[in-house]
Parts: sequence; C-alpha cells; structure tokens
Amino acid sequence: MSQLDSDPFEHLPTSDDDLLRVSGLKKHFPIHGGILNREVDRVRAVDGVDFTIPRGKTFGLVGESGCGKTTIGKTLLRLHEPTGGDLSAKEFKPIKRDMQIVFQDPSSSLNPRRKVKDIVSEPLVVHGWGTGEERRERVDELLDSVGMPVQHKHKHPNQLSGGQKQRVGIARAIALNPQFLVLDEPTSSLDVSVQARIVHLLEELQEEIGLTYLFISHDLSLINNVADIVGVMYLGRIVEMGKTEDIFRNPQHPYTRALLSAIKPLNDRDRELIPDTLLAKGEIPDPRDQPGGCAFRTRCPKAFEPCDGDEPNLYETGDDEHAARCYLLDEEHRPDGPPW
Amino acid sequence: MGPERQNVKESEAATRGEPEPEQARESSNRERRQRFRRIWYQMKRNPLTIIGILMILSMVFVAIFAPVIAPHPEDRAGHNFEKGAVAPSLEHPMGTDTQGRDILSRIFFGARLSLGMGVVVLGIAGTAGITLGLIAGYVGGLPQTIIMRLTDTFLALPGLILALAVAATLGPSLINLMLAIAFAWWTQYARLVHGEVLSVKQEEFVEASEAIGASRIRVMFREILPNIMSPLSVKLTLDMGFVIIAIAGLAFLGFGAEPPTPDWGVMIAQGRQHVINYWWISVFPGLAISYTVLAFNFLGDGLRDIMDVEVN
Repeated sequence: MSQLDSDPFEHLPTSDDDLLRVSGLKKHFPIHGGILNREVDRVRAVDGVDFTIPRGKTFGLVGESGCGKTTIGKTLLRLHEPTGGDLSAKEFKPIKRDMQIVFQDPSSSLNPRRKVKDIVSEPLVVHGWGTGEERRERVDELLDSVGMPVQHKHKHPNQLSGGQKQRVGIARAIALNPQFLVLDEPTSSLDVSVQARIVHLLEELQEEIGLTYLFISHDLSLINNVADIVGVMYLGRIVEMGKTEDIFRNPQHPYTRALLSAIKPLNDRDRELIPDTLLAKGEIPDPRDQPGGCAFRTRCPKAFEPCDGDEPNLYETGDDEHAARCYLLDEEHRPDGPPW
Repeated sequence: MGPERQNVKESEAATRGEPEPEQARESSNRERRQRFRRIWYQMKRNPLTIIGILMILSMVFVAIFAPVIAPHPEDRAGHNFEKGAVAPSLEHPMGTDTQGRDILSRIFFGARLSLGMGVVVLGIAGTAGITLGLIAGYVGGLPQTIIMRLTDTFLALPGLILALAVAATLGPSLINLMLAIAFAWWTQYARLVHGEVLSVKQEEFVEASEAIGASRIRVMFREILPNIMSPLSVKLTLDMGFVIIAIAGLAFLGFGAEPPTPDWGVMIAQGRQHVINYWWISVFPGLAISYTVLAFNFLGDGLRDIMDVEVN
C-alpha cells in the first residue's frame, strides 16, 4: 500500500514472513458427457500457479474474466478441491477460521431470508464461539468495526444498500478473527463512490487487525492502489508477478502491457505510467481449447517462433522479485535488440 | 494517491451518518407495513384467496369445536334405527343416514378426521420428500442419481393406484391409509425441492456458508430450505385438497376408517346403495369434500399469484 512508496525494500517477501505459500496449484473442472457420463474434457481453470503472500500484505490478482482468478481464491478456501498442487499455511489451525472470503456480489452472498445479525453471527454459531450473549455483543462490535449502524442488525439484506450489504459481508468474514481474507472483486458490483469507501474500510481493517489479503480484481487502477504485490493471470497461469510499482512502471509481459494500455489515464502523470499502446488481438481463447506453447501467443502482437514450442518459464526481469513468463526475456530466444 | 485517500476519509466520515436509531426502527416498521400492504393489495386483487382463507378457517373451527357445535352425537350413541333415513329438516339440516344418525354432526366430526389425516400425510410425505430433494439437489452425485431415478420410477405409476396397492397390502386401517398415500406422494416434493435447490445453490450465500465451515445439513436446512419455502408452501396448500380427495377415495373403497367412524369417504360409500331414495346421505359428505378441496385450491392459487412462483 502507500508505505511501499516510501520504503519499497522494507517489505521484501522473506520466507519467515510468508503467511501463505502456494505452489503448483491446479484446478481442472471435468466436463462429463456421452452415455456413460465419463470425463470427456476438462477446463484447466488454474494450471500450475505459484505465489507467496507475506504477512500483512495484499497480493493483487488481475486478469480478464474467466482467467481463473476467482477459482484460485475459492480453491484456497477449499470451496473447490484442488486438482493438484500444494498450499502451505502452517499456522492455520482450523483452516476455515483463519481464512475467509468476501464475495463479489453482496446481494447474492447474503441469504435474503436471514437478518443481518444472524448472517454476521453465523460463523460464531457454526464454530461454537461464545454464549448467546457474547455472540450478540460480538455482532454489535463487528458491525461497528465495519462502519454499519448497529440498529441495522434487525434488517434483511434487501433493506440495505449495496455498500451496506458489502459491509455485512466483510463483518461476517472477519467475525472469527481470521488471518487471511480472499477478496473476490469486493467492489466491482458497487457504485464508484461506494467502492472507494469499501476499499478504505478494507485498508483500515488490514492495519487494525493485521490481515493479509488476496485481492482479486480486473480493475488495474484499483490493484495499483491496494496491492503490494501483483500477479497477472492469463488462462489459468500467472504470466507476470512482481511488486506493484515494478509491474506498473516496468511491465514485461506483452499481456500486462496490453492490460495497462487499456486503462484510460486521468492525467499526464498517470499517462506516463502506461506503456506504448499495445493491444491484444481477438478474444480470450476457450479455456477448454488452449493454444500450446505460450497461452497468449494467439493474441500476442510480439509472438515469434519459440512461442509455439514449450510453455515459457518465468524469467527474471532485472527488477527484484519481478518475473514474467515470456520468451522475450530469454537471452537464448530473444531477438536482437531490446524487446520494446 | 495521498490527497485522494484524504478525500475518501472525509467523505466516509460525512456519509457514515446513516439513519439514527429511531429513524432506523421507524423505517424498519415502515417496511413491514409496506410489505403487509403489498400482500393485502395482492389479496384484494385476488378475492378468491380471501374466500379460500375464510373457508379453511370455517373448516378448522368446525373441526376443533365439533363436540360443542354438533347438534347430535356422531357415533353409535346417535343410532336411531326406528327413525332411519330422514330427509333434511329443521332438526336434521342434512337429514339422517339409514341408522338414524345426524349427517351434519357426522360431517362436523369428519372434518377433524379429514383435516387431521391430510396434515399427517403431508407431514410425512413433505418431510421425506423435502429431505431427499435437498440431498439430491445439494449433494449431487450418486445420491442424486439414486433419488431422482427413484422418483422417476414412482412417477411412472399413477399415484392413487400405487397408494391403493400399498393400502391393500398393509391392510385397512387409518394409519396404513395415511402411510400408503404418503408413500405415493413424497416424490412430488422431492422433485420440486430438487429443482429449486439446483437454482438456489448457485447463489453465493451457499458458498459463503460453506466457506464458514457450516455442515452440509446446516447449509441445506438453514440456508437453502428457507429460500425455497415459497413454491413449497404453494404446492403443499394445493396438495392438501388433493390429499383429502385421495383419503376419501380410498376410504370409499374400504381402505380407511371402519364404518362407525364419521369419515367422509366412508359416509359416501354407505349412502351409495340408497342414493336414489336417500340422496342426502351421500351428497352432503360429497359437498363437504368439494368445499374443502375448493378452499385449499383457492388459497393455493392465490398464494401462487402473490408469491409469484411456478409450481410443477
């Protein structure tokens, strides 16, 4: 977040500080068909993803819809069983207490038939936390900490505004004092003015209770504001990862550059941040039918021969902790001259 | 970024002044009143709903207070063989049967039986069907395949014939009759619930509950079930009428209550041979059945319009 500007090297991810380490995470959704209902195909929603999130930091995951960013969040929470890979978070005792999720659409993520107080106290009830009286007090405390007037607790979700609903969703997520929150596009269904307030609330909570976030969004300018580290996803893989300022100042993967060039700059200062216009061609491919080699090559304006071959590894970009999955960064393959 | 952040903080402080306590309570009351008014408006547009409710209330009243309001005893104490079947008169508004018992009194007591049995049958069939439907829809996989193929099998047989076969196998008694009808009926709820669950379980609040770590039972009964109550309550109301017909039909065929019991189906059966000479013995219990079925259909149709749900 903003501290990063002042001292970018103080928050380098060192292994002791890592709250969560994910390696080789895969989630494939089988497609059944035919008379025998056998698996005929599979959607590789997440296909080998590695990242670590340092304690107290925000990892921003960006990408187009359907690239698998939400699937990563839900797989971490075991809402989907991972197909492969490893998640280590040694300190999480019962994982569902230490890890929670805030959903994209608060109208859908709150049960319309239950009152606010019941929704917020649900995690407490499920985990047998406290007595009835203690739970009631905790609900008041939680609503207060997310900036909801306590008297709204007797209302049903449909009597609340979008921003208020999302506050209830956040209150539910932090009810059991988790260490880690998956924020699955928590603001994308809200009005712009409300978005800013929800983001501010999330930042406040992060400071107050020392939360670690996985912030999923397709909004690059939002990610630029909130994230310490950014992972750019394309078709189930992270194609570029690094500290937020490096990603935005020095994007290396053509896909990242394409995403950045799609932002409309507000002023000249911002415009400088955006690389030369580089547009991705065509549409995102069907994840069932992914191109071999580099997944982005079918849309990449810079594609050249090696891209058809094996999938590129992550190559260091020169910045600290900044890597991209692109042959343009490979000494062996790179055509003469600078890539850009 | 700095100045922007500041602005956000300020606007946050300014706009967080959401309704004060009293206002909130007032607005909550207002919303409740509005909801009530909306339902009332819908009912007024659909007066049959109100008629249905009044008819059902009258039935329930008669059933509860039968011993008080019935002008004559309904069982053997009312026997008067010398009197025999008397046409409707002031003393016996619906006449008497061949054994001299007052038909009106017997219909009052019969209301207890019909409504009570209807509730029990729907209770058994509903509980079984809802639970199995929830499991099939929410758990999916093998349980879903087994439960839904089972309901398909049941669907292939006409419900009343199936109930008849089961009742015949179990032997005639009130309990067996109820079990037989419930056995033929549960698939209706399993199918309805299964379909509704499939759509409700896509909602994120189900995932939210799973993320919290709630058990499957809790997700099914606390999160999903309340959200499918509208179509379910319409279906149950409509079915109350059909179940009462089924009970009367099987009782008519001799699979239910034994003769002295004032069951409407049994009463029709008893009057069957005399329908030319003593039409009132069969016709009035028949009208009682029609009245009940009509009442539940009026209410069920009305509820369907008010709640705006599709059933079947």
